[in-house]
Amino acid sequence: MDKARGYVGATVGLFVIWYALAATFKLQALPSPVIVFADFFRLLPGELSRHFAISLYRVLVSTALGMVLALPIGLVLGREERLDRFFAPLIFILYPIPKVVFLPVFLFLLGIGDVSKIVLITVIVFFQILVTTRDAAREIPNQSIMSMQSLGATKWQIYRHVIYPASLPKTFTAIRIASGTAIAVLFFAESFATEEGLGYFIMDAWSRFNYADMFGGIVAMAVMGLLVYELLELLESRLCPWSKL
Amino acid sequence: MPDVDLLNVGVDYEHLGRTVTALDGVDLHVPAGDALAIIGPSGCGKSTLLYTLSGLIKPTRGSIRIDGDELQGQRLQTALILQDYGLFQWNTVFDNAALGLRVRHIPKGQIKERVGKILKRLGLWEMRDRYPGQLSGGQRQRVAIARSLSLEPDLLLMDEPFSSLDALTREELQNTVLDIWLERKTNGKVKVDGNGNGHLPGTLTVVLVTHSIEEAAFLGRRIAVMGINPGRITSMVDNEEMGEADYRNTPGFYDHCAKLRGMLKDGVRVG
Repeated sequence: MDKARGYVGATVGLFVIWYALAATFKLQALPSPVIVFADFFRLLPGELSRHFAISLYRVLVSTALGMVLALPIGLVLGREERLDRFFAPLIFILYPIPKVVFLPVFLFLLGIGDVSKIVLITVIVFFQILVTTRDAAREIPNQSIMSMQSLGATKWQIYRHVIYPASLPKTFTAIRIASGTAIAVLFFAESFATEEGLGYFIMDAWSRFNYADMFGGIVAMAVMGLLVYELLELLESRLCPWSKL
Repeated sequence: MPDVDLLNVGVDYEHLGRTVTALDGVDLHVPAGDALAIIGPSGCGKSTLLYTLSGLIKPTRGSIRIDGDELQGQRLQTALILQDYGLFQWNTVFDNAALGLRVRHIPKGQIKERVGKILKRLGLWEMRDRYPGQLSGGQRQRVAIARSLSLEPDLLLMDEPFSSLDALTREELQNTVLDIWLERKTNGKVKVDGNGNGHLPGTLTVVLVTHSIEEAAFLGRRIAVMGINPGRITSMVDNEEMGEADYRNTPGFYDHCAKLRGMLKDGVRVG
């Protein structure tokens, strides 16, 4: 409940600042929030919710894919020195490359539909989660592993009962940060060769100089980001209830 | 019943490309049901010795026999308690205590019964659903004891288990360990036969590593003093009165502490 009140407070605060800025500068490119929200709720039942749903789908699928792929690989690389020695250099060469430059390649290979966008975001999210998870797994104290071994645990059981849960909270932090990146990349990907998604909606409104629509799309994007964040919170409290004590 | 025998045990490890000898020429005999405390300055390899006994570290030289058998890897009836990191913050008290049994695929009903009994005995039953983060240091080490007891061990190894606790809590837990040992000692003599009435079978052999003189004198019926460079056992002290009522407050206890203190000081000077 406190959280809901916080969100309402923040929304009201932003609304007021935005209103003041719009009233001060009187720019066409910065319409008053009153107009924008009227437009937002007018568009929401039809067009906007369709774009919203498509964008949300792309972000959720790619974040989930990135997590499912990066988590096990990160855990194994963090604990298996021999594999790490081989793969870590590869990862650290690829990690800093701005992966968005591969969009044309993905578009060419995977088509202009959902797949190319999802793959692009997945690749970016994957590296962010991988690097953090690997480090988290490396930092697990040896005593934790020994204590588990002394109980007679197999390697698989050590992964299941120690390495996975010990790394999970840090992995979630990485996913939360990555989800922000995912939305930013999504916007970029949706402004090329597509007619669906919030990125397209915003860029299209911009090209028509319809700033009320454009800001409506931005509001929708903020709502989507919030939704993703809260979904991750929910998932984290399910998967690691101890971390919030 | 596990007699523990070490014959000329040595452990080397690689550090920055150099071979370091952590232990050398350790001969040790711990009769079944005995309580041995190992004390020595930091770096004398006493923890290494304990890990070697637990099967986690393979000795470079020599042989370890438990119950007459050459030790190979972990032994199911050996339990190990560490100073820190032994408990997992993502498991509740119950799940932490039950972890060893779960790992061994013991049926759920049996785990519930066995662990429940031990948690009640250690005064942890009311806290079974809490996480370690919600417990005091003393309660946490109690859970560690509960976990090791759930394995129904005949050999209990402890690596400075109470050294991060405050003085009174430490004494309380030392009393708990002593009670468990004494109880098993009497059980061991009676030799109950296998009707499965939840009794703990036979005596319990305890090996405790500590840097506290008082702890060694209180929990060690025999005390091994270790020296440094390389780690080896320099002397053995008999402590027959250990386990007597209120031993902590007797002149005998103080005498033993003074004697141990002297030996440790000499050891440092010689080393």
